[in-house]
Amino acid sequence: MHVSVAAEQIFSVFGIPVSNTMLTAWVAIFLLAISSYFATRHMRKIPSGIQNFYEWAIESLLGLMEGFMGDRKQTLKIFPLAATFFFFILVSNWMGLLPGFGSIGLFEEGNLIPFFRSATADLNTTLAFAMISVIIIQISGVMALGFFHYGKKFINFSSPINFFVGLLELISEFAKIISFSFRLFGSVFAGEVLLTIITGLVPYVVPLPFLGLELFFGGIQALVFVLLTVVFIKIATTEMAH
Amino acid sequence: MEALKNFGVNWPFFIAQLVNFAILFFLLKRFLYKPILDMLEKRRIEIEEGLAHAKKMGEDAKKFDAEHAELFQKAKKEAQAIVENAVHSGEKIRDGIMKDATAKSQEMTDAALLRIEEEKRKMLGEVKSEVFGLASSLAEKILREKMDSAHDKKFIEGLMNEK
Repeated sequence: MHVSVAAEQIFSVFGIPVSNTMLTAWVAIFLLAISSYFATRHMRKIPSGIQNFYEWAIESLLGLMEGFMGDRKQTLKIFPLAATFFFFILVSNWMGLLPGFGSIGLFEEGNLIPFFRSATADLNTTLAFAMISVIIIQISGVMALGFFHYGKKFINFSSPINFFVGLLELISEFAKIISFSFRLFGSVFAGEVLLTIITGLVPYVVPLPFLGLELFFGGIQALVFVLLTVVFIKIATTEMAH
Repeated sequence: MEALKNFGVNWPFFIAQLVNFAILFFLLKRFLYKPILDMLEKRRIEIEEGLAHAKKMGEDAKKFDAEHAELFQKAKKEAQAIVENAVHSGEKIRDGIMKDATAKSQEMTDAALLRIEEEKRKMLGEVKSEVFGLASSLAEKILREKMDSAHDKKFIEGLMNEK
């Protein structure tokens, strides 16, 4: 059994390498875009079917975020970003549980190169998400407090203690990138490895509870990523107590 | 950076995922968040308006009910007054008519009595003269046999005047 931490390149288009996680990311984007297109193509005042489902999802997510932000206007401003994180991560996580993921592919040098691998089981993806999240957090801070006021949080010469605290703050911002990306990647990747191993040991029935658990963790991870982003934005946009 | 490479981070893939995210962001914003958030807001406003409308309708209905009851009471009072008035004036008219009728009948009775009296007197007069005539002619017939005319005449005249 071969487990690859890295996503594998499966082919290249015009010299651009395409990995199996990029392929599934496109599938996820396609599914989300198509379903939302059909959900909102004919908006009805009394919703039904997929429109109802998306309305429920968006309203719940918005309510949850508003609980953290405490301000509806600010919540609506960051909602598109946070919700995109949520849907993308959720769909990617759950797609990784579909049959065929990690099991259909080509053998190269004796190792299976799967065609599909969950987009979030690739550090490239989660690192990209983490970068976007942390950059948005900084931008929100600057926009809410002003460049110099926000910058004072990190570079502060008013006293040695404040200088040292600012240094720690700066480090913690970079640590956020690492923690965001590795938390998500580690959880999803470990889940997939676990499922592969369990399925390899006992192919029938036994993997089912683990599948259920992974379904649950997939949802939790998506929620954690979104809520952490929201909370960090809330902290960055709040005036520091002196 | 070496450590990241061990985890499979390579920049073309990383940038591709950034682009993927950006594409999904704009797609979902256009096709999902905007229409649904707009619809939620629209529905919220509509519900608010509906509730306000219902409240106003309820208040209006209450006010209308109160007005209705007041009007009803007033109408009832008025109707009672009208009926009382009508009864009153009816009684008056009845009394008037009765009085008139009694007076008229009295008058008529009086006239009738008067006429009867007159008739009676007239008839009595006629009867009297007829009886006198009859009696005198009868007496003449009887007396012609026994008395001379001159004497008789005197006697009869005396009798006549005596009466």
